[in-house]
Amino acid sequence: MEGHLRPRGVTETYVGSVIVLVLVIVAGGVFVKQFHYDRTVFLAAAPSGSAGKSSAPLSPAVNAFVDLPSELTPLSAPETFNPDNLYDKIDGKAELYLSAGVLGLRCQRFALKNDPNTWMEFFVYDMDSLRQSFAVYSMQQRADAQLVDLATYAYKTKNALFFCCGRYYIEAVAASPAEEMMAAMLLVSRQFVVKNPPQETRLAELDLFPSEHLVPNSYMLQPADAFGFDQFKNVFSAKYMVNGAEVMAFLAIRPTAEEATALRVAYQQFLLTNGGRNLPGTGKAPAASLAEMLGSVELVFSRGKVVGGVHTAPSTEAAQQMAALLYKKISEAAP
Amino acid sequence: MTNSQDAQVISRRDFLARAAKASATIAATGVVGYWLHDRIGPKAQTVTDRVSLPDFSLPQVGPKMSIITGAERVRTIRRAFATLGGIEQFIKRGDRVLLKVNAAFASPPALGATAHPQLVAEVIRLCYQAGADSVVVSDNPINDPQSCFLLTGIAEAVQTAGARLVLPQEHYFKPTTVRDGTLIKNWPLLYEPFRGVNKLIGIAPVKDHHRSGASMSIKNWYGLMGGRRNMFHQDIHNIIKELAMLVSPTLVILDGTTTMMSNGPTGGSFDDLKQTNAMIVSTDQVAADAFGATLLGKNAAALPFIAKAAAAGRGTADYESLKPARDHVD
Repeated sequence: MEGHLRPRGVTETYVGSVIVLVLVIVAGGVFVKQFHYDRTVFLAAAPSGSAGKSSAPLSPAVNAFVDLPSELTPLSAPETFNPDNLYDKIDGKAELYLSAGVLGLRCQRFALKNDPNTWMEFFVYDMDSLRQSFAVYSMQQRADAQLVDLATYAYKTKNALFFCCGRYYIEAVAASPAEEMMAAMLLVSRQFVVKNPPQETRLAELDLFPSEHLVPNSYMLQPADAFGFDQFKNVFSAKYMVNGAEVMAFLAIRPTAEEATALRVAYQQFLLTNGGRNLPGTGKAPAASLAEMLGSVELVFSRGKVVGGVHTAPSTEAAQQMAALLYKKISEAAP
Repeated sequence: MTNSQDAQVISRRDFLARAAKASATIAATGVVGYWLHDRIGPKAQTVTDRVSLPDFSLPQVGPKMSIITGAERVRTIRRAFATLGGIEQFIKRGDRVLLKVNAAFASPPALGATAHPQLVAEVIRLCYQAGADSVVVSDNPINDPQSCFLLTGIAEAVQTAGARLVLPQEHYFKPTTVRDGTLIKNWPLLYEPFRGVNKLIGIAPVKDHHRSGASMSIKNWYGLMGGRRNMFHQDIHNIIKELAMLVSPTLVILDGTTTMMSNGPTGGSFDDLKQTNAMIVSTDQVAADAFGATLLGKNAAALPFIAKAAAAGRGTADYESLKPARDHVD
């Protein structure tokens, strides 16, 4: 029997041509785009064997991965790290960034042109979102921080600058306190913000905290395992001075009110199974639970999708007073 | 259009030809796979490759500890040895000394993340004064060791004081296993600097540590490990205990002149530091760390690795039982 193949249809030819055309367009796009990547934030994995390595550490390097003011010159080649080798650069602190979802780190050392012994290192952590960059920013915030107008979340210390620029968490750390270097670090940082305008600049959750008695610059976001409780994820907190005692208020938003209620109950159970003891009274926050634990007072409540509470209060009164303020503010924001 | 019309009709000849081609392809793949197959597998490390560190401690000297307060490292370390009867109690003429410093980061000495170069230089000088034949300084910072030793100022201190700096190289590592350990098994150890050495001194600053709560004398031995040692961070207190089991130093020097109170082990801001003005010299690394904990505003019980190391027989958390010599220098 003579075999034969079914003749190719017009439709098949047409569809095939379109697919080939699309592939050609995609290939062309990739080819063109590779010449226009943003070098300021390029975080591609370094090729094997060179990841995390810089060459000639104290000799002038050719390129800077950020735009430099005229006062600065590169002191080393740029270094690139990914979640797998971030540890090589920052050792045990890598865990803090990994738990917050870091995607990569780009860093480089720069020196003053007129004084090569005055140098700094510029770190750009790609945290994927403002929420995650704020988490690592807030967990490392220094007590004597002085706010700067670089970004919504930015401060400086004697020798260093720390700020969030959208998804990026940036550190500029000088080897020694020097006014000229601090001025140069501010210039580099401002230029970075201009070149990488953040899509988000503010976290709405922070507006749910009352401003009365608030300890300045005490906001914190813990992405996981807040207060040792593995179900507490993305928990915001702030410190307050209530009647001369420091207390910590916290809140977390869940997708539904039911999930918030379940989380509140689970946290209360966690406290009780870890040595806590139920205390009577709920203050002005309905659906609240009070527990004494290791000599301090824990309070947790839920209000709609929000789980809120007070951590390590010195007394029941302080916990209830703080909880009432927090509950009122949350209620005003989401009546 | 029916399914039968869609079907491709082939002749017996075509069918046999295609079947032969497919069979040939499968056979060729099998032959290539067989050709590439390594029947022996990677060469295992033989037992003779494995190393273990000798015991550098001095039982005849007994447990000794000195705690000196003061802001000047050179003066406090000198006084610390003086209160213990002089460095000659530990370093003898002709000794070959290894100083395991903490040079983990390419950061300036003022940030307190690494061993201070002034202290390193002075210890080298004291060793030579005691008659040491040679002094070697080493660490394995993993990332760019050259930058770490240069920017910490340790390289210059070593050169100035006349010691020899050994930067880690791949072939300097040999597998080691901690007896009765569960974590350090056939793990690469920076062994080359130990060749010919008969005395070992650890020099570390007192630091906060994100995972372990503190990085001090025992954690300093972490810098002897190679490979992807970060996996040990998942069991941080037990790995520090095993480091104490791995290394029996002649003595440790714990520098608490400036303590990194927060954001360790890297720090980054002067605000992370606190002037605590303490220099500790101890033959008992566990006792040294137990005292170091107090500089961090903690007690030894808050750092589980201390109790674990003590339980493993590597020292005592009750540093007062050593009756430490105390003094102050202005």
